[in-house]
Amino acid sequence: MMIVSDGSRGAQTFIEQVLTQRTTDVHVIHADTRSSAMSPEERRAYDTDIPLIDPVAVADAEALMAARILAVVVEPTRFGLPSSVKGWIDRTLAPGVAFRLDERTNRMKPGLTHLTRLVMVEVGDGSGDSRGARRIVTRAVRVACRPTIRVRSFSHRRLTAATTRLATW
Amino acid sequence: MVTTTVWWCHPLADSFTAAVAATVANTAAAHGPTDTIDMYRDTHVPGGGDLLVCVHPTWWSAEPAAALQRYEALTGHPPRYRSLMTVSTHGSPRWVNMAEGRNARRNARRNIAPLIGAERSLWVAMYAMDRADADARAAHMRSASTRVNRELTRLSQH
Repeated sequence: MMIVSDGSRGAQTFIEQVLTQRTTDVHVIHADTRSSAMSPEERRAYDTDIPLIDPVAVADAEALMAARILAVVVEPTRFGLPSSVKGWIDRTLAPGVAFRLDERTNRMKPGLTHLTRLVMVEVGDGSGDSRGARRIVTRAVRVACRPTIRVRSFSHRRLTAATTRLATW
Repeated sequence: MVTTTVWWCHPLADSFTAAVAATVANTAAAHGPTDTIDMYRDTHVPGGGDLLVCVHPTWWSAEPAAALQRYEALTGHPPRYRSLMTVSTHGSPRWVNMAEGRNARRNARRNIAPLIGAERSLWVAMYAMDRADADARAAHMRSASTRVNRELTRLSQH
């Protein structure tokens, strides 16, 4: 299981709770430790045969390809998903990882078909734009997954249930 | 006379987004003072005025992270504008963006416009950019220019 968080205090506390119940097979990424903005070099590489050039992004992508569950744990901001996690999505879910473009039709083909569950967990006090944050994960990222993937989201009021589920799935 | 700020975001200075921003800025300059700010390379932020035009691609149904970073930094002392226009491009078709929830558009209307005090939030978008030809891109530039021209004319009359 891969957990991607915004590094907020609430997210870190939640992840610590999950790790007390699930000690193996968990790969945690705090997106605030990564660069958010895609660099000009990364954008130029995006359209080439080697779309990921940052070693950290390459390692994150490899870990994602080995995971069965992707869980995103964030405290939504006024603008929805925090820029740190959006930056991780922009820079890691590149062609060849999250999708590929069909050469003939140029249509997107899903690349995250190995994932069985996509989970969104909202921490904090609920003052941010939860719906905006949730939609990016459960609807936009879902497009890169297989159609039958199980998608769940947990609000800040259901963190106990989220902890239990993530520990047992 | 109306004042405009063109605030654009793309990693590449020679991108289509940069070209759209330059076209929009040229159109706005005919109506009054126009400030063009590159979110990637300029450190200053919009200072307020009549029309704020945000130009950026839509990635994963939302603004690029660099744009979100700049928006998050605005919350302390947001500039005041009468109107907000967002000009964006989507790699995927319109129906895919509908399914994804059109988050960038929603964010502009529900979050950014109220923050800066804008009465209106306008959305100018090009879809299926991955399969677009030169004619489609030129049409998007014309559309953005026309909408900016129309909005600035309206603002100058009110």
